Amino acid sequence: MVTLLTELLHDAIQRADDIVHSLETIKSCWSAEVDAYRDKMKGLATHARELINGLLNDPDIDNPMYATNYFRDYCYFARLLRGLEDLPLLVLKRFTESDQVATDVMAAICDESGYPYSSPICSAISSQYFWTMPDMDIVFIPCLEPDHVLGLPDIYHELGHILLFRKKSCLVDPAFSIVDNHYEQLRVEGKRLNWSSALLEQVEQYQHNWRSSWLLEFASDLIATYLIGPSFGWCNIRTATNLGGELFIGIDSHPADDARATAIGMMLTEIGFDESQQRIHQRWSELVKLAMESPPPRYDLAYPNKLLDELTKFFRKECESLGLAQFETDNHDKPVAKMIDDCWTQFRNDPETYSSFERDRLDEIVRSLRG
Amino acid sequence: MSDISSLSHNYASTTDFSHHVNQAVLILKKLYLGSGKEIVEKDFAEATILVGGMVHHLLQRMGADVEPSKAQYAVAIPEDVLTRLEEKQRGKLKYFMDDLTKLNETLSSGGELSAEEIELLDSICEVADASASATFRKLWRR
Repeated sequence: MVTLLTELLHDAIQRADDIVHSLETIKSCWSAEVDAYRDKMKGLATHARELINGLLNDPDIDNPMYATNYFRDYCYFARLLRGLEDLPLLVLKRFTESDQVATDVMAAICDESGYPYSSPICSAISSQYFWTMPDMDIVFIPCLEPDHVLGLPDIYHELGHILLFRKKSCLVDPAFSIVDNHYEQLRVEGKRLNWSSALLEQVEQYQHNWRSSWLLEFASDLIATYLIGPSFGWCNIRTATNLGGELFIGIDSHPADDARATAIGMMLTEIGFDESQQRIHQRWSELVKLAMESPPPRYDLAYPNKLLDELTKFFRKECESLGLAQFETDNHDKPVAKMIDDCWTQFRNDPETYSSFERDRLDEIVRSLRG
Repeated sequence: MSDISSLSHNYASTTDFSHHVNQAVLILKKLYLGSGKEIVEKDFAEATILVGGMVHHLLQRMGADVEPSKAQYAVAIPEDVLTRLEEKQRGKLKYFMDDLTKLNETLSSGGELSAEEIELLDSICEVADASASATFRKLWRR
């Protein structure tokens, strides 16, 4: 008798075949990066199909002793296929001129930054601001962003997410140790000072938040600032205001905007842009005043400056070790970084006439990238 | 910049962890509880290293008094997997740690795993898979 697992595996094979077939039928009218990406995703789906077929042919597949393990294997492949259909396939089947522009800009950013992997593709289909699937090399951006420049520093943040995923052992694991050591010392100090158990539990919760997601966000910000410099600090103010939320309150998935602004400032000082850091800080203070917000109690335990400083130094050193190119003002060999820096400078100097400046610079860059 | 990036990062890490540990445990299960005829020596060696690294690092993360993992053998434990394990073992954490310590000793001494020890490994796989599945649902059904 055919078991549920066998039925599910056959269904998964059919889905894998559909995905491979659909990817094959996508016409090759975009850039070489897009074609290479399509082939890579086709390879992933084909490999998944082979492994699922291997499960079906495994002589132990019907042995009840191994059933839960095989079921977990099936679940893994089912989720992988769902991800391939819902993200790369969806994007590639509906790839547009805007997506191509964003992908071209992304490729140039990767090239200029010394990004050590093949450039991800971009899709301007997002309703969730900028985000990435780091294991699928795809970055989603809002639909109008390919026509503008001021939001482009956020692409560097998403590249940071992919680097953190790919270089976990040299970036994330040691950074977790820095976080753990810091909070361990804090707990020892708290016990010595007779902190209440509620406060010690709160410290534990902050450490958990850092390990769950805050570190990834801070680290992506630090990498982005290292790569694109003051523009990321200016962009962060814009993003924090555009997306709303309370400046001093973090959530499970994101640390407080104010703490992120502090870390970005630390990296700017670290890479020699202290003057810009001061100007950005001044603007940030203006925003805090306008929003009439102030830090809640224990804010310094959630986002200790000492920890942020240590992480800033660590990520600067690791970015250098990875051969990533630090932002410099003399960046004539990096046309996209130069355009972003020039656009932010122009916007701050003359916001009224900025839009025509931006259009001209972006047109020029897009033309040159098409070469 | 949106919270999907950290969520998708956590999903990718958790599903990788869950998949690899489950495959390694299946190999050990076949060898110690089944006939083990079809197990290739290389696969067995890799599975033992991976499971050994995972158990050792898990003990370390749960506060046991063990030597820090050597970098090349350390298997990163996703935060959500750790939280779920601690929640699942609430009230019996000491026994869980004792069992895990014994398993760590068996693995590091190259001894044969008992049915109870395989069951313990299976319970970790179950938690890891539940974590990957829950994170996937958060991504897809927001």
